[in-house]
Amino acid sequence: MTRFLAMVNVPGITEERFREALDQVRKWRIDPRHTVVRAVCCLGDRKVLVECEGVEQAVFERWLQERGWKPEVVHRVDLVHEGGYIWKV
Amino acid sequence: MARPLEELLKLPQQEMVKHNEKPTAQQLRSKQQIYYEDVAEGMELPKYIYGPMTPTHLFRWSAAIENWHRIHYDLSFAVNHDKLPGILVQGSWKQAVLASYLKDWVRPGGWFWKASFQHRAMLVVGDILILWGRVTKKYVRDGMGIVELEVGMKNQDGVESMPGTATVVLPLRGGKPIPYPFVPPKEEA
Repeated sequence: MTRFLAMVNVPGITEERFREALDQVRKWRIDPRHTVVRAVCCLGDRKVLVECEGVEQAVFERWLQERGWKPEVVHRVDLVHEGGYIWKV
Repeated sequence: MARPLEELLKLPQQEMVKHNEKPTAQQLRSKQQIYYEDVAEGMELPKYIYGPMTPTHLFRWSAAIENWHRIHYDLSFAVNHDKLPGILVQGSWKQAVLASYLKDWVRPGGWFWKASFQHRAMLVVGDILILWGRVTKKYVRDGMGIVELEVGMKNQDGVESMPGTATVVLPLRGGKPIPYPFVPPKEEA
């Protein structure tokens, strides 16, 4: 499993459009076993950050495309700090 | 009229939860006996619908049975350490609700005899869970109605997480009561 972080350029993103786009999502577990969208952060200023745990990057990118979102860049995450623990993911 | 399982799975999640057929405690107290003659092969049992599951559901069960494995309440551990899709619904909870489900169906005078199932898929917070059963075979042995069932627990996407089989015993209409303690019928030669 790999943790992906995608930076997506979404011109004109507002809270309303952000909610609208994500309210339509029925599959956060894109593949029930292998691919899970973990978090979607609206950064304002045309940017959305999406975190996904998965195996194939292409599956994640396809999910983004279904939202009408094309990633500028997709990073692979190595280390995560959460609540006092450092996890190698 | 209860919806067949396959039709239920086609509904949007917000509609799905409206079709829960789990009786209230009061309804169970005054439940009428279902008899062997009332049952037909292919017949579906009432479907119990749980969820959407929340961390509170999971933690309540962990506390009740003192199962402190972190995969059931510590999201950070479950996701980052064990690479799970979220905190997991406990297999022991699924087992417990299956037993209650079958006991509810046969009460007050029937007997949930045995069940066998496997845990095949992970269920996580946010899932809607449908506990279901279907009659596969029925026969009479020693004056008791033996009913074999296919059982399982599907999530909202139709993923079967707990495929299994079960056998319950129902009284015959006008027949002898099912003994308590239960004595299994003798195998036919």
